Amino acid sequence: MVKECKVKLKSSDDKIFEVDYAVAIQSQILNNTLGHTGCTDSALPLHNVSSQILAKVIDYCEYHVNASSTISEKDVKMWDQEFVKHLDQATLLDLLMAAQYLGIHNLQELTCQTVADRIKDKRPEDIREIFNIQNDLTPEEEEEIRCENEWAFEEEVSP
Amino acid sequence: MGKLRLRKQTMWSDLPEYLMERILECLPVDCFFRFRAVCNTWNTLFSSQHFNSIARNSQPFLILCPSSTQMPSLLYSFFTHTWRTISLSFIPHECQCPINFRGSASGLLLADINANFCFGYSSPTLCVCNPLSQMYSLLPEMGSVSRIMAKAILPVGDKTNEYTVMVVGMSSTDRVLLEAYNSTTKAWKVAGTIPDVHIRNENMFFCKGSLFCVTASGGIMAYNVEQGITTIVSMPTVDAHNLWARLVCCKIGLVVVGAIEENHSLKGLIMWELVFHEMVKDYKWVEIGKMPNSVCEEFRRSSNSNWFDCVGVGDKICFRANESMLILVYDVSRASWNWLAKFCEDLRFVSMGWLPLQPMSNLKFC
Repeated sequence: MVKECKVKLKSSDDKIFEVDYAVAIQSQILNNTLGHTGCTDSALPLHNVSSQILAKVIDYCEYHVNASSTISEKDVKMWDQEFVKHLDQATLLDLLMAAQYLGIHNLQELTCQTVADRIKDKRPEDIREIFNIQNDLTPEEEEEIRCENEWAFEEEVSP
Repeated sequence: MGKLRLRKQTMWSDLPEYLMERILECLPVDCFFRFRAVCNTWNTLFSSQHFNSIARNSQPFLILCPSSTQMPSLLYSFFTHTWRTISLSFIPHECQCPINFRGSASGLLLADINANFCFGYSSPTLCVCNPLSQMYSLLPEMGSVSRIMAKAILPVGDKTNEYTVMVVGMSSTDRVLLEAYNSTTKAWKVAGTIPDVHIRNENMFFCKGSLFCVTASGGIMAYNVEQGITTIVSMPTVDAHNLWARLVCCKIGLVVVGAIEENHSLKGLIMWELVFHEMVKDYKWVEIGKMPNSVCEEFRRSSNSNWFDCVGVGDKICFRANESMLILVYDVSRASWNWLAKFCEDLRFVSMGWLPLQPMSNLKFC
């Protein structure tokens, strides 16, 4: 049963977005809410999501509404990669938090994987800088870890 | 005039722990080891049961070991698609005696050293080593087997850190025995007898409760360890060709690689999974892949030699023609063929053992 109604969403900075029902229910949270209240004319407040991020989330959900049935897996993957490609760290973080807050599983997976891909080649000191992590290991402790896992710190060999 | 609302800049430190964990779970397993050096929390996290479990179940590395530990081994990661060197010089042995790496399970490698040149007459020393933690253990001499025919190392138990090494060999009274070494008791014990079977080479695999090896007559011997039952399975036939069988053990189970040769050159290659059917209590062959003609031609061109070797690494099967520096990989789950980036020009690597190496996040013992 596909509902034809529109759903109104209000961002944390009071902007109103109107989306199709099918798009909205990609969010588990909205799915549950709409299940209880049904389609109403009042906007659902999303206190934790800014308009900038909500716009992006909606972009994602709109594409993915039909993706599984009409578009090939390969093309969906390509679209997803383009979607995250030029996002800066701050936007990526906000998107991840929004996906988690709204319960949009595949967007959460995508953003997690994107962050992981961006940090996988980094050294521990770079990681600390990116995530603003305090190094609470003593020099001896750090040395021990590096020695024990020496192979992982080895430079990669190219032919 | 409305109030000016400043948007709070979200910091990475605002990220809840479980979301950070989700991100870290997406990392290639190589990072599980390197990122322990970030801070105490990450060190504990990556050593945890949860991350260890991810590491245990992930795609293993491919390790290439030359026959002298004075030379570094090469490690290929299928996550990062890169090669690294890793030293095995922590294993002591005479430089003149080759060390042969024969088995792998749970991040541990089984090797034999001091084989001397009178192979078959003297008992080599067996060694189990953990390349990633740089630890090794020399096994004591077997109690009953005096001539080893085949050996294998079994995966570590889920809850214990115990490993088992199994050896099939001849006793002094010419019986074919199965003897097992337990890392906790540090002792050998006879685990069964095997009907007189001629095993073709030392490669034996443990898979789904049974030991498998190729017999001299070209069949497969399956020995169910718990039940002590031996089954001989003939190779599948293809258009009346005789197949030269090689066993590989990969994620799905035991796979037989059958090379079809014509005029001493590789004409084709088929892979079958050996599946045990509970209902009929017998093994059946299930074809899982074929080498396309174009790939076969490329493979033939990769070397002048007609011989090739293959090894199962997770859900991939790797092929390398003798004297070639190029490795061809069949991805079982995707049914696709790819060549790996060339690893090095050093010809000393040309004759070497290769094995899967499972990165186990917290396996420090040996």
